[in-house]
Amino acid sequence: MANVDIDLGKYSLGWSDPEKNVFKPEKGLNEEIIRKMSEIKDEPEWMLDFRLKAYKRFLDKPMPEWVAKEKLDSLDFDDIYYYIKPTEDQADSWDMVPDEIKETYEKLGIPEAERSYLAGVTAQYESEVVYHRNREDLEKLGVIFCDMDTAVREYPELVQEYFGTVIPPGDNKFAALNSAVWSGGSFIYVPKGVHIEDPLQAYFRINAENMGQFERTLIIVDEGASVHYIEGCSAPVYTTDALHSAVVEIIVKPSGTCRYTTIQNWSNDVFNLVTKRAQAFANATMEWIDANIGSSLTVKYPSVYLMEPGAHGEVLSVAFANAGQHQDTGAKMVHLAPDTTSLITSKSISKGGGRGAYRGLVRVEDGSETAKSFVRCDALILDDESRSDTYPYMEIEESTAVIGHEATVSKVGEDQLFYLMSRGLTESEATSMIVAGFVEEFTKTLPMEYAMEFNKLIELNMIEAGAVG
Amino acid sequence: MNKNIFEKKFTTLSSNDLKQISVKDEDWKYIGKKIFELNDIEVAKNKDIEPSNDFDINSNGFQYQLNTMNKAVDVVDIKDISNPLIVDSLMRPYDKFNLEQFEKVTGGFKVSFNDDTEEYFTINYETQSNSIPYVGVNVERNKSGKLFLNFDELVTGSTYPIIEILLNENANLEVIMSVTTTTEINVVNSLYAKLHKDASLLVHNISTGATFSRSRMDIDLAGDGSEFGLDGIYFGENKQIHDNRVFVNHLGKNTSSNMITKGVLGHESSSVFTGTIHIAEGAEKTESHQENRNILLSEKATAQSVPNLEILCDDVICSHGSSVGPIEESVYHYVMARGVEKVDADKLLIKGFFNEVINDSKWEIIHDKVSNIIEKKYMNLIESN
Repeated sequence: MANVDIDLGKYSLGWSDPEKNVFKPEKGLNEEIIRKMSEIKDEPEWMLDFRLKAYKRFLDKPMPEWVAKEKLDSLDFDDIYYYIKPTEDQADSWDMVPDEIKETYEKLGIPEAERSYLAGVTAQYESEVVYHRNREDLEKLGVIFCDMDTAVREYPELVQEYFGTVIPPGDNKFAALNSAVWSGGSFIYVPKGVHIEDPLQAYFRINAENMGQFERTLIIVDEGASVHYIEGCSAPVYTTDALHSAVVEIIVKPSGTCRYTTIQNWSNDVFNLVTKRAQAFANATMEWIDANIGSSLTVKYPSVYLMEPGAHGEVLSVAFANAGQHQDTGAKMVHLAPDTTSLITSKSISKGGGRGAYRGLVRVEDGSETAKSFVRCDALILDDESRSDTYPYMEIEESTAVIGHEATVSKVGEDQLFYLMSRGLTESEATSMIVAGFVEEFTKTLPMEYAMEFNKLIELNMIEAGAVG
Repeated sequence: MNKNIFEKKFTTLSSNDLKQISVKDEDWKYIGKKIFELNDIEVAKNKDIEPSNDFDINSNGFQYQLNTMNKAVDVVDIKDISNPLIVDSLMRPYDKFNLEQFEKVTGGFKVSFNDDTEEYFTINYETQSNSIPYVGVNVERNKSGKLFLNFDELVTGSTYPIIEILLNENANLEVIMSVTTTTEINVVNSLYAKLHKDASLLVHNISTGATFSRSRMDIDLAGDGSEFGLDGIYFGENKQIHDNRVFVNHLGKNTSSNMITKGVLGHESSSVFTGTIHIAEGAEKTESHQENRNILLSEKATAQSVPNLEILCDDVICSHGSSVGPIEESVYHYVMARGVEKVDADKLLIKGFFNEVINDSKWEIIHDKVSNIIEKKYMNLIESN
């Protein structure tokens, strides 16, 4: 409740909630921890029930075997703090942050104050969300923008109506885990006809040893309303060995528009296993713009269920898989009504032994007349150690649907390199310019400062290992 | 029945050791409950057949009539083969079904192309009940051969053939695989080919018959410079399922593959196309293209298309494309604006759709037959509407 209006400044001054000190943190997960967590959060009975049921589903569900088996097998669910970490471990300091991350901040020109914040050493609270902005003018329009815990307490009816309806707890093992132990995340409600001009933003972070972050976001865009939400940041977010398993549910009511932009740049040891799904109703538009640069393993397929006629879904996905990384990303479009349309554009870059994969599904149910969908996947593979996979599933049960898929995989063209180098660029400058051009479709959707930082980051990623191509 | 060529390899592995296949498996998805337990089916007994001019194989048993006309080709009965044609293929059963095929082989033979031949070596299959025929094909170094595997009207019993192809250095083989039987049975092919340096395999695949017509092809482009080409068509009516799985492994350098399959689906028929292009580490200068196009002609027809890419090497050119949809309005408009009736426009456009594949000069010997089948199937669709 109290953290609705906090800003970074207040937060770093050490605002605290004495009740939380009562909780004795321990690793691993059991019913007891879930009950305590729910109690501390002062949650209504239905939420505790929801968590407990989800926990059972989590235990019942086997680990997925079709993706990154080795990495997932190394995940030890008993070695994770599911709520708050012990205070003695909070002594993280700037000194503990690896040099390469500090250097990246330096190169990106991130201000001093923000650096320590991104590195996870300033803030005292885990599993909570810091809001960059929650302006009064939004409140005047009737927009609700707060963290999920607050929403459960203050807007119980609204939350209960939609929570877990888009992604039921039993959807997959990690959605079940999130449903059982979620903490933090955003809640946004945009009332009928309200257009929010500037993007809403929130930074998430993981800031403790073995600290899992299970944020839960629910966005409801009412009829004719529109919103653009930005999650994450392009600068690397430092953590050690953490599991990040979020659930994001979005409901876009008739004629509404929602754009959800993610720039994921967790440090390279995080497992990022996220379920994101939206329902788009009549003539509504849902766009996922999803960039994955960091993490050790990302498994994420933002999806749109096109529920009613005229609904439109888009996913623009960019993934950069560098050494040791596996980016298993993609998109799902499920056409459930006539005249629905969708577009998936995926750009992936693999380098230094990284593995980039597009895994996607276009499903057109019988009766979705004249549904249209197009999927375009392009991959750049920058050296012979790297790997690029494309798994596009197309399940078409409607004869009037028009579905297309095209994909290409190639390395950076020698003629392109030659062209740029003959104009005085070094090989690595030329390569990063080509890569930046390759993902331009993504960068141009970003606000200016994000786009600049993102381009710089691509450049850094390219230069790190010297000349490539 | 006769598996002495396989016995040695199977002493350590039996189909019981392998996981039960299910519709959840990638390779058996999308086909409803059509999961086969060959161990549960009773295979047919041997039966005599009348010889014809072409090479005839009675797949129910291991009897066949030799076609001695073609001196370039040498045929050896499965009983007289002591070593497997391709050791790899026995070492790599990809699932329980495949291993059961080997275990329950009902007969077959090895065909060796020892000299160049321009003439198609035709095998007309005949079956009246469940059978699992084996054909091993060996093409000697620097030689070229042509093989026609014909699953025509003589095939009246469900057939689960194993086809193994070994192409030695610089060998060429062109294969027509044609499933056109109109009997309501299953024809489930498992084809494995291994290509050595500069070898080339071209497969023309026709699937218009059977209730469930599946072909799984596993192609290892092991040698540098080897090539694989596939062009195929399928046409579904009633409740037919046409199921094509193509797995191409680019292992050598400078290898190439080019695949195009096109299908039209009417009534309640469905098609599955899953193809994986795997480019191994070090397989430099690979070029691979894969295309799958589907036209859905009726409300209840469905198509699943999953063209996968797995690329572990940077110096490659690789593309794939697939599409599913009705015939485009603009194309209708173009044709009908020239005074062609809707029904004729449909026919014309479907013909045109398939012509991209079957008008190739390499399809010459089967062009007319395929063309007639397409026309007939199309007429069936119109009549039932």
